[in-house]
Amino acid sequence: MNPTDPGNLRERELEHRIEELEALDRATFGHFSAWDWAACIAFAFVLPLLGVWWFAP
Amino acid sequence: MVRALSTPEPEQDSVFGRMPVLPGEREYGTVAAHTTCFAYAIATWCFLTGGYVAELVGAVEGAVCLVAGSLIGVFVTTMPLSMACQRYGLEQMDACKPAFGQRGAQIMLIFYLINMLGWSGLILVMFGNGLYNIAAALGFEPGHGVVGAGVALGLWLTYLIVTRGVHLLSLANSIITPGLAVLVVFMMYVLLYEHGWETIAAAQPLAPGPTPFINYMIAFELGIAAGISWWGGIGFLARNTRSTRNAIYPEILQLGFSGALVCCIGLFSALVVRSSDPTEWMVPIGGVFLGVLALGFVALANVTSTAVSIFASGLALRHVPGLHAMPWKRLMLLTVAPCVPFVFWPHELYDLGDAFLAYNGTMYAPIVGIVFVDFYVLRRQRLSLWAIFERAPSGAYHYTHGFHWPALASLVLGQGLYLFLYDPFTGETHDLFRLMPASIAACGVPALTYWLATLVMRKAATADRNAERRLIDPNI
Repeated sequence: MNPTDPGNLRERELEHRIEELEALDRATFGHFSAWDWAACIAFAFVLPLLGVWWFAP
Repeated sequence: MVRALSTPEPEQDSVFGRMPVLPGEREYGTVAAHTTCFAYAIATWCFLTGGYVAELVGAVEGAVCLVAGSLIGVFVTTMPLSMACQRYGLEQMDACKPAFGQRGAQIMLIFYLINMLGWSGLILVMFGNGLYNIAAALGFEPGHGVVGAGVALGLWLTYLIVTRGVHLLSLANSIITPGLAVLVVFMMYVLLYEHGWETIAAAQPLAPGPTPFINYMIAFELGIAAGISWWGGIGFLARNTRSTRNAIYPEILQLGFSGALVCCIGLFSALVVRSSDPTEWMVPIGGVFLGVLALGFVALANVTSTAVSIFASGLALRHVPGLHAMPWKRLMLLTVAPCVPFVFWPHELYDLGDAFLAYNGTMYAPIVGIVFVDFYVLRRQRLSLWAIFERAPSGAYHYTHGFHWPALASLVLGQGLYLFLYDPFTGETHDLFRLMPASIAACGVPALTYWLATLVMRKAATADRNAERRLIDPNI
């Protein structure tokens, strides 16, 4: 196996990235709390459905 | 997508290819995520969507359907996909592999290409119509062959841009996005100042069906389909954001809400001008000088929008084993080729635009539901990157010959259910469509069947827990 072959370099780079990402804790990417979920569900699902129901002919 | 094209080399592996993006490489903080999503959202296809809805319902009902539908469509699409893509730095095709299998996920690629190339063709016809209407506004009598010739010209310009001038595309987009925002505000101002809200609100739909409630439900369906249509772009945005909130909120607010507002401007314009073709609005709204100027600008925006879609489609084609190493110019030629029929049958294909928009819901709604269950219920938000990038049959996401049949069977069921409730090509609806939009049903039922099937098989949820922490045959 030639370590300088572009294909092998890509594979090594991929493995390095996978190891780094798998090792990260979820908190590294910030929290998405139950309040965030509630806000998204209310604003982007429940309220739109109520609006559609309210304005239906 | 504007930001996405600021680096010229498509081979740059992490940002422009499939390599998972590391946190340190991610460019979008809160402001950048919002502005990039806003730039995504303001595109000329919003005018097309508004025009389609104007055929069915009036201004108030149409605005409600567009805003509500778009928000719901983006919400159900973004919650599982953006979470997965953001956490693991993946693009959406790879994020679907745990649910559909290594080869099964390539079926998503077909849907993705239909979506991208279909929109490209429609926008190119809009470009051709724009040239026709510019010539007509300047007093010429162009033949209808101009539209087909315009599509050919647009394809050629697109090919030139994506093969030689991505710098140019980036520059053009940095002008066009704010320009489109100005155009939208100008259109809204003229509509309100010249015609007034009472006139807009009282305008009758252009070509409604016999039942107002069914028209309303179809308009809602088109709104949801417009939201779900963002499926193809969400992975790229999410994987480049630094936090989960920066992935979710900008997509819902900008793609879902701001995009729908632009669609509403299209809806109001179509109702006032009495045409669903955006290229016929500019001269009546702005007069000859400003109208021709706006048409020329929209034509340019159409070419750059098409170039963005073609560029993204070319990157997606890199998933296909035989195309991994194909030279970029040849790959681009292969990518633009499916748009050629729009040169010969521009009007016939353009007239199918509303059916095509709804068909995006047919394609993507079941995928959205299945990925939702797979990511949240079965895997508890934990994927194995080792398994995602493993082509060998021993890989955890290889399943049966590369296909995860419970997911694929649920996908077929969902698409069949959609067409059973609402056939976008014939316009026929089932009585149940009055109770449930086809997209929501086609999202929920496959999600449920997939969950039940995996409960019985008890394989998918546990497959990646045993995934090996090394790559035997990487699929990159």
